[in-house]
Amino acid sequence: MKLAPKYEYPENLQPTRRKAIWLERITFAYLLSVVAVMYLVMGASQAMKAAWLEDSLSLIPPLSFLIAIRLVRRAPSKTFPFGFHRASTIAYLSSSLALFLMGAYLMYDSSMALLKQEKPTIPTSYIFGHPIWMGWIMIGVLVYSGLPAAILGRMKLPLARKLNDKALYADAAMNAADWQTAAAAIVGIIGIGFGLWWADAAAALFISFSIIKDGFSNLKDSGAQLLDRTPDPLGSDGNELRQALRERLQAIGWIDTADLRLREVGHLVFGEAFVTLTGSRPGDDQIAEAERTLRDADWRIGDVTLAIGHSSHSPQSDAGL
Amino acid sequence: MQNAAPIKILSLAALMALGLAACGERYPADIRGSLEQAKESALEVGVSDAAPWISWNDGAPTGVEADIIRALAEREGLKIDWIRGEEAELLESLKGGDLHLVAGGLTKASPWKKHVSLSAPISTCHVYAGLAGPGAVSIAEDELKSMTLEVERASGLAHKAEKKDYTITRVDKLTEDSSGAIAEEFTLKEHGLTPTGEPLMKTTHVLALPHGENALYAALTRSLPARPGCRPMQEQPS
Repeated sequence: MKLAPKYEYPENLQPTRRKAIWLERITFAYLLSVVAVMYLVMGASQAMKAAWLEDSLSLIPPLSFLIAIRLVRRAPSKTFPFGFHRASTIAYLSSSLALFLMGAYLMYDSSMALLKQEKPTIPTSYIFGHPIWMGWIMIGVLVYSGLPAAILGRMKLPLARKLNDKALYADAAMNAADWQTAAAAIVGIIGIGFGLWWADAAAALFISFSIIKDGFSNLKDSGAQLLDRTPDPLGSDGNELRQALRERLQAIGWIDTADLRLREVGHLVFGEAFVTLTGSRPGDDQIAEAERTLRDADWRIGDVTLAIGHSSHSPQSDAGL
Repeated sequence: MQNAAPIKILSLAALMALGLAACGERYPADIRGSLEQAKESALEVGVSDAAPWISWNDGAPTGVEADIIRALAEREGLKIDWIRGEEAELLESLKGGDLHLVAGGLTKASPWKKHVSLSAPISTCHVYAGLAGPGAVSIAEDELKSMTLEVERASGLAHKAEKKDYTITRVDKLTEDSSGAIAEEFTLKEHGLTPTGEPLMKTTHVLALPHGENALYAALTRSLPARPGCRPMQEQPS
């Protein structure tokens, strides 16, 4: 069986790839610690429970990124002749779903609190012998759960663009959502301190719109990518890419016309190039040379097959194997 | 990535905090304004009899919880309106904000905690197995668990003691001539029993407030000691 070439990233992107892996490991460990601390301080507070659930959801993107980035490097095999590049798209889909669910849950939770007109109690308790309003402690925990997430998210964005890694991109959006939720919760707690019972829920509801919007657009994009939509890579233009490949093919002497059908497979672009010939059949080395020309156009080109005289499907055929 | 909105909200929060510092109002404030109302008229306290925590004596409540509420009123300069009633009805009124406090021997484990908020601990007692006789008796745990101990049916402790492998017999009321029982330490003392071995569990007593009354909650916490201990033990003349 003819397997797809083993290729994921060029040499010059390897340091960026390693940096992204480290950032995600740090994110995962940090979020795990946030989930643990939240679990300890949440008590019976519904708002803190919701924040805890959201932080648990935000473990999904870094985890799926870390699994995918290992899988995509595997060489194609007889069972997986195209390689494992799509693992990254699956990671993107699960991360987007986690982001979307987080927004949806936040919206549900805060609207219910508003509808039921829940009046949140934030107790004053003795801590090391001093009466302390627990709101201040909660704000401290929320800052811990929001600030590093904001910084990590900011650091991941340029890496995601360079690597065309949309799972990483969705995770950066998740980190942004984390800190936005934390900011909303802080405003809510301060508002409750002023006797405004709706402050907490209203701030959360406000933030949930932008998280749902982010989650939905990523979810749509990952679904579209799995449906072999024409490529729309990060940090590059899919149409320009197709145009450049076409021009490269048409510059070759033995090719008369060329057209391409491309799809994004994980970080890479796969597809077929349909060509008609000017004269006689080209030699094997000429075909290999043409394919190399395509691959050299952009590091994102994984495997583009040359098809000569491709015919369309015949609906009358009822043969079966 | 929409980062502008939260930054705006956070700066708004910072402004709010500044405003707070400028006018120096009570923070956190009540959602319904219970403490302000109590200052204008009186602190409305629902009382449901539960000795030794609170009970009606000569037209006024006495007991641990009555003392705590009087201390709160004195600290905040409030008059008290005592309203005697059934626990369930009082808590239902509290839930709707018609009372400021309910006292009735409630514990932290109360299933009402969803509907009303429970205060900081006013007393933390331990449940022990107690044996007759003065002085500390040293006895192996296995031996203690094989002895038949009396547990009051209505104390809510019987099934918990059984879970911990104690051999128990359920009684309606502990009597003076009980030879061994499982109860809170002050009850054991009342019946001349000496706590023996490790405590079985901790019971935390609380008062109930309406949800969201964070200023009243803070005022109540401030009038309580940081570590309240077992209050009925401290108030009984030994």
